[in-house]
Amino acid sequence: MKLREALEVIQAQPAAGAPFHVTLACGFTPLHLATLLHAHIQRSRPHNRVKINTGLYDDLVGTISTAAPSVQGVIVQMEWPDLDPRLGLRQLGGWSPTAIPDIIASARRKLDILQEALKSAAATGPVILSPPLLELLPMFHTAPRQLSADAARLEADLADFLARIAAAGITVLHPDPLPHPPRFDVRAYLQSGFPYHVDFADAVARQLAALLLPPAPLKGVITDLDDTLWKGIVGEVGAANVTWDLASHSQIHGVYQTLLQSLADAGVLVGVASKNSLGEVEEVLRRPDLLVSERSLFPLEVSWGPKSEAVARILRVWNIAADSVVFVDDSPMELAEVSSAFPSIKTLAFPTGDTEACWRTIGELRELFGKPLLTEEDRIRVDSVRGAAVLDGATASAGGQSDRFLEQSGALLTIDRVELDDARAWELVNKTNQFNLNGRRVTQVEWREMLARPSAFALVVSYQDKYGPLGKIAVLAGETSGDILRLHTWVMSCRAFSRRIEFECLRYLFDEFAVREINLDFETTPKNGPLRVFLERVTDCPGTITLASLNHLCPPLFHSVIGNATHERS
Amino acid sequence: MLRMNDLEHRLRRCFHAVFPALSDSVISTVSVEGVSQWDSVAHVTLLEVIHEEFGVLAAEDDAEQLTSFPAWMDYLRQRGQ
Repeated sequence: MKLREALEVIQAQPAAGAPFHVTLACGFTPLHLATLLHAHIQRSRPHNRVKINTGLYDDLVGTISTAAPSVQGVIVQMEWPDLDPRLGLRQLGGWSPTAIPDIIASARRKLDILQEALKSAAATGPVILSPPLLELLPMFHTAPRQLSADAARLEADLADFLARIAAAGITVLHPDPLPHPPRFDVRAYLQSGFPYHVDFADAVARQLAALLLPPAPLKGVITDLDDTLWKGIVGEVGAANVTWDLASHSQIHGVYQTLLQSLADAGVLVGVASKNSLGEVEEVLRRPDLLVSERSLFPLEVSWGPKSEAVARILRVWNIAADSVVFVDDSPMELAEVSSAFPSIKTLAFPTGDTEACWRTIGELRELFGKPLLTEEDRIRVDSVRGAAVLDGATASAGGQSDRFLEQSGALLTIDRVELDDARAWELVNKTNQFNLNGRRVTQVEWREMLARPSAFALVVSYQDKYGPLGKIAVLAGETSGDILRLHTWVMSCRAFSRRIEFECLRYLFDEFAVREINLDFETTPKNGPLRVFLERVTDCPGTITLASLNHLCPPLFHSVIGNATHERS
Repeated sequence: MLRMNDLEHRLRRCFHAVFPALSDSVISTVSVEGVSQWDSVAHVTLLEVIHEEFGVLAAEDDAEQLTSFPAWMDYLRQRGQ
């Protein structure tokens, strides 16, 4: 983005939009970085009135420490002079070898102070830290081609600090994906105190904005097998002769398998759509040298029919929409066929024989599925989807949701208050589409503010049955006033459908809060059809449920319920 | 060589991006004395926006003198020859 374009984006922000304030802390004059960051955040939040607070220059710690708790995030852009002014060009006098040990000691002390300030700020909202992006000055006695021990010490201290910060849950920008030269604008730095070329500042601002407001990761990848998961056509060469190793010049397929296993371990669903004979495929999947476990691949759609039909069956089993999924295949024709049937699906080519292109696809997959942290639900997701498929199959064979079948499933609901640090509850609110009351997404700060309201409640529902645990699958949040309850947030994972959990949740609200009526902040979204259909079934009038109507329409419920969310009634 | 109308039109866009409150009727005569928003930050921003638009990076000594729309017109005209 050019600077003029950024200024125009800022000028076009809605005057009446809700405020969205972000603190940018940096020791240098923030100038164009603030402008470009403002514009990138504004583009991500077009309905808000974004404002960037910058604090005092040369006072990084002070700006972090005084950031208002109401800001939606604190973004910290470090540079070396923040650790000691002698590491910059605007205060001179530290290039003597005798001064270096003192600079190193001073930088260590500053890193400790900075760590405390960052941790303190992170207790109230998101903090994003960008480490120094410019090289150390040529202040050491070695030629630039030789790493001096002192420079190495400074960089090691910084790396240790960043490791501690990242381990504390603070988001740290990774500088490697940023473009390289030219970064340092020495003319601008000496003239105005701004150290970056504007194009580089734009790349930094773009990444910082994406870290503050990350796009929701996709949920599933559907992969082809022949010449994609492995090299070779299994139907032609046999299960023993498809390869994914160095000796066969097919190592990139092994890398792809390794990535898929890593994604599966992080809760990404990995399904297979292949035109093959199932027996031959299963023979390959049983090979002990396969780098992705057979158990991580579910479901296996192996047939001679169109790939789009296989994809449709996989989406039904996963119960997620096509726009949450990537389809990977070596064949441009198969990619086009699937894309034609599912225009919203993301397709990626894995052109066997073109290692560079395959490597780019692997990088793009990591980008699409990257998530800041993993939860218990990520670990059990594949097993719970398998369990749900078993349940759905058994339900269908019993002719629908038979009372007898549900009664025998041994379902247990556990309902807890949402804790401030419950990342899974916040994730559910921000990624659930189908069973979502209104599709509203909230920042961490907005979520915390909502939880802090005296009349507010927020409940998280966990589920398990004899087919296994689903983990935390639903969140309900709202406020009570007298005998009326207003529900403004209600989301439920699609893995938990067809178990009558939604009825049990409503019954719990009526019982626990002793209200006679629940008002729902329902809004139709392009994707929340399942919740709309449910509400049409149980509401007397749009947006309102009474205990009488629930009692009249509620089917038999067989869950055991453990309620740990006892509240003080207002 | 930049044509006069084209130059003025593009320079107006630059000024308008940095000083959005200025009306079209006054923009071609403004100077630092008459625009309260024209502070050091705005000045550096204007230098960069003009750099992006024209590929002309004002030298430090020149930049101090470029404190009005007419001064910028003259400066860019000279650089366009």
